[in-house]
Amino acid sequence: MTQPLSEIETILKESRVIVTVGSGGVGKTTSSIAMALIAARLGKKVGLLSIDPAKRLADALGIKLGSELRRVNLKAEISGSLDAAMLDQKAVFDEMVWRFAPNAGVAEKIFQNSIYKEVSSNLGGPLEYMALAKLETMLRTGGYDLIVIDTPPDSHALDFLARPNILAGFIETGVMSWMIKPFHLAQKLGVGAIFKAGGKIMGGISSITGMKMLKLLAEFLVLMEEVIIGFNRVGREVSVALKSKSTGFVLVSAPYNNAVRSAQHLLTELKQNNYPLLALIMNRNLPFDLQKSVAHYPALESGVDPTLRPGFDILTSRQRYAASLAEQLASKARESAGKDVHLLLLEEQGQMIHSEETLWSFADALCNARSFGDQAQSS
Amino acid sequence: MLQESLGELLSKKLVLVTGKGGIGKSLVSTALALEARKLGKKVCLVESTAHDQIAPLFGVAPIGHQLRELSPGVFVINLNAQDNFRDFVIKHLGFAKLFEKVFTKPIVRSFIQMLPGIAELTLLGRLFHFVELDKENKFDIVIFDGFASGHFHSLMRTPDAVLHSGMSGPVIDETQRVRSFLSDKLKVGVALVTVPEELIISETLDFSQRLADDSPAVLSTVIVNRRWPDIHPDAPPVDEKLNVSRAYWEQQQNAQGKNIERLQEGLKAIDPKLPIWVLEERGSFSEPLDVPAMQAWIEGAKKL
Repeated sequence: MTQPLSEIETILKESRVIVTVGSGGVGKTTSSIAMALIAARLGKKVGLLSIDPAKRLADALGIKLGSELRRVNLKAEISGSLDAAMLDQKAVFDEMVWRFAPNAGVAEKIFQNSIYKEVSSNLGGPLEYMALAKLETMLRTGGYDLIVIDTPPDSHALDFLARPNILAGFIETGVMSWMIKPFHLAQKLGVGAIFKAGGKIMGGISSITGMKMLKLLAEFLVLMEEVIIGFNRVGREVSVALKSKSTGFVLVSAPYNNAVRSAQHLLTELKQNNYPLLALIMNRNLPFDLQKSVAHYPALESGVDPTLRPGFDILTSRQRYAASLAEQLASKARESAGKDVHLLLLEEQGQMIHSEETLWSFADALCNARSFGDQAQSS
Repeated sequence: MLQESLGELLSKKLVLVTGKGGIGKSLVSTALALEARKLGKKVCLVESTAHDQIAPLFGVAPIGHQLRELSPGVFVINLNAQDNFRDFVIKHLGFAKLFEKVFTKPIVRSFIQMLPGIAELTLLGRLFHFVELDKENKFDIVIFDGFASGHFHSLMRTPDAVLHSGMSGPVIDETQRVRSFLSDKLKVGVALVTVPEELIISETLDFSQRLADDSPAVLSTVIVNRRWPDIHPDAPPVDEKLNVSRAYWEQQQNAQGKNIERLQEGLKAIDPKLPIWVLEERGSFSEPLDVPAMQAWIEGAKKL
């Protein structure tokens, strides 16, 4: 087994933390899992964190969705190990309350609060906080050689890393201490008139939402204050840790116009935040042998039976389009991340990923990915 | 021309387009908008995304939260949460003064970010506005290039969540109005876009069931995008260099046949009358879009 390492293996071997970004539907979570598996095969102790993944992918790893970090049972010949957390919204929110609520009584009250009931299965924010908290634990205590983080699938993925600032703003702008706490207290004491500081605002909001809503919301926020503060602390620590550990980003995209547009925005955001891009994975390309075959079509077209042309036309047009999108993204990636960025073309996977075996075949495809964007590669 | 085609869908006042990411939702939404225009309608095409996806299809720089006529009779806007909230409070609830005094303060902005579901609620409110209340523009049809499946499902659940949240007053009245509008089958329909791939068909069936369970807006059409043409059974052999390509095509055709069948079976159990339309694979689309080609593509839809 002295084969030279593939590009992706080289990247994984040298990294401590990898953050995967990309829009929905490009195979981002699958790529994250595949990278974790490849690193484990290289003998690394790997931690994987995925936010709101499809249940199918958790099943493929043989673990449950939830809030826990679980050991994945890998096939025997793998010398490294893999712990994965496939975070699920509701479980995460509950755990967060247990962890940060000052005592069990408060935790119970939060669980009973009707806003909590609506929010806990319906808001992405807490999930991202929990991901950050898990990440902090992994960075601090896990002893991992490599941590792979799969960010939520949208073009604001980087918010995920910056998010602590938003909730921190909520505390620091004084909304809590100037408006909500006094309001909550006034309600509790049965004082009907609303105090001066937040009076106009709270009165204004109550004319729209009604007083009961405000009461519930105030109660909720007062109860949650400890939780929010706890999360802000964790968030800040993680931001610092990410900047100091060698953290690299991997952008996953696919040859669709909207995926490529999102990827371009992400490249800009990465650059603005000084986050280093290690690799761009262009997923879902036509199989390489097919690309080669299709390239012959224009020269042979006149000899092809007219009833067969529609299919060849589709393939030709898909291939041309994919190549032009890849080229476009490659030059943008080089421009923003420098010449050393790895550009990898990945073949589409014919089979559905639902088992460890199919995940491994995706991992192998990733190892066999072709680098692109080089003049040397065009043939 | 379109009476037997997707005409029924385009007779609605509001079409909500959804489906998994990366399957052509924006293209289908845009093609539907262009086709509605061809039928003589004044169209409002709405998206709500971090970065404009539709304007670039028309070869235009991002337009954001600003209604622009990007093709004759087709108006486009990319709604964002902050501006929706403002429009909702001012235009729906009629609290212009209050908004100026209260809601522009940054302190309250962060307060609003904490209100669960408010972004979704105001978005639905804005769609309702474009259909029923916008006396200035008087759109005949509004097409929403909607969120991907999971997010779309929570969007549809928002009105009920708000109605059960303990709020009262104008928000509740408005939510009730929006909810009853959404559940009006004649006016509002959900178009679910899918592609004939194994995994995506499974997710489509799953998602259709969830919509049937608790969405006020009713699933009215399933559109299967990217169907490969059939290979003529008597087609002669090709140069051997092209065999791999031909084999791939055959493989696509076989797989899609099975997957479409499974979709039909599965949907029958959910709603036996649900129409399924099939759109052909085009390989790629040029930008800016070729309007007549888009219209021809949608008119070529075949009903199963």
